Amino acid sequence: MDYKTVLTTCAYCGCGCGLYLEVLDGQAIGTIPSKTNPINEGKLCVKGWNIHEFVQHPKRLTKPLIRKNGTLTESSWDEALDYTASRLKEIKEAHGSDSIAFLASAKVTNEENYIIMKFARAAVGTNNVDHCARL
Amino acid sequence: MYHAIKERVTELLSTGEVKGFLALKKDNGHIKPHLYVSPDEIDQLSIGDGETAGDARYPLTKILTMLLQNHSGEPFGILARGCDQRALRALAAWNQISLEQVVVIGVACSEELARACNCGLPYPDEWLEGEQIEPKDPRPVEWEAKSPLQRLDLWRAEFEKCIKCYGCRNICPMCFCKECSLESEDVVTKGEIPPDLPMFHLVRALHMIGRCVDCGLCEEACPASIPLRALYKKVNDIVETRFQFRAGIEQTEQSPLHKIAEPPAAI
Amino acid sequence: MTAQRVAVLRDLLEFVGIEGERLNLVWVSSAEGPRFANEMTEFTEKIRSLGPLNWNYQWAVPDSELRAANPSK
Repeated sequence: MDYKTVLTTCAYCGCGCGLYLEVLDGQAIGTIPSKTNPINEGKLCVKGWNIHEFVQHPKRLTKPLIRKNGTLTESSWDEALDYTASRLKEIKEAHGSDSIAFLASAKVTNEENYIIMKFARAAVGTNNVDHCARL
Repeated sequence: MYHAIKERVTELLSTGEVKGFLALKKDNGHIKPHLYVSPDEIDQLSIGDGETAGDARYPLTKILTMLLQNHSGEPFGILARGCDQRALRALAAWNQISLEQVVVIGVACSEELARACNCGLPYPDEWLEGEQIEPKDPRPVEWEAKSPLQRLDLWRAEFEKCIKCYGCRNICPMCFCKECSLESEDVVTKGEIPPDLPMFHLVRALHMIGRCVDCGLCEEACPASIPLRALYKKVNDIVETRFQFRAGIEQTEQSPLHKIAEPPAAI
Repeated sequence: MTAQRVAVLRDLLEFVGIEGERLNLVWVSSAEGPRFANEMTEFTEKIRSLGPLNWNYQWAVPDSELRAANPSK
């Protein structure tokens, strides 16, 4: 028997509500809003209340997929990164920097979002950066 | 603070009388629900008083229900206020938990909190900390004073704020149903905000008959600040007036509606 | 028990400001066709006379003015 409540931040939007994930024997089984968090003061929206469901969901992507002959096939990280880098280069050379856009995510950290922004502007040379949580 | 509780919990854990003790813990400036399995962290025990009395209460009884259902037969301890004690008794009456192996450590609420809650019983059966505060009138008298038309307008304005987060149901220690009417498309239209007025809130209110222990966690969890507590206090008031029944207090039967009785004079 | 439950619901409706008469409970057997028709007609008439729900959404308006606007109350 191992029950823990783990303090974390809701990943669904930019608000940053504080919540506890209930972990029983290694499985995330529930969500409890944090009463002492100044952002949400013990409240959550319907998405936040169900956030424990996606953490260990079997349908979650764990390996990169590349579309080969019309079907998505699992591949290694090396292959996926090489493919992405070469295609991005090709597109940039053929159509210019502004033919590429970047969509960042709320489900990664601030720092990782900073990196994708820097990559877009410095490495690719475009201002086409947006974020799914820009609600 | 809370020396008596900490000493007792240390004793329970070191003698193995309980496998785990469910209470609150001060952790990195936050207060969170925590299952103590050894006396090591007992210094960080909290009763849920953050900036004001009782502002960091959590549904400990709901967590206990889940723990007992997954690890039945193991002895647990729980920190309980008056409302938690009522929830434990009501949950046992509804056959959700067995209290045989549950050790309850009580804490009585402060005058400030008892007044804020209008709590009808702000202390558990036995307590190690706190004082016995005079129970308050738990009826929603400020609402009763208004006329029906004012009440209709006010409740509409309140219900209309609902963002259907299901927080009131999710946090409620007495909401243990596997299937919830509020998710049935026969009662509540899918994908619409606000939910069907006043069906959504009245269905939940009606399902609180014989259950609501007036802990107030629903109202604290409501992002729209709907005065849910007043609504459920009224349900409790109706049930007490009609059936002399208060959930979680001397409760042996599940609900006054579960027995065959003479129908009321006017149907 | 249904009769008790309906009685509680009626009290609750009145607390929310909805007339209790809008809720009705009768037992009618499948053999009592005419009675069913009568009950339904009577209840429909009652609801019609009560009119639509007073969802005015004027909660800042004093009670006296609401009464003036709805003299039947």
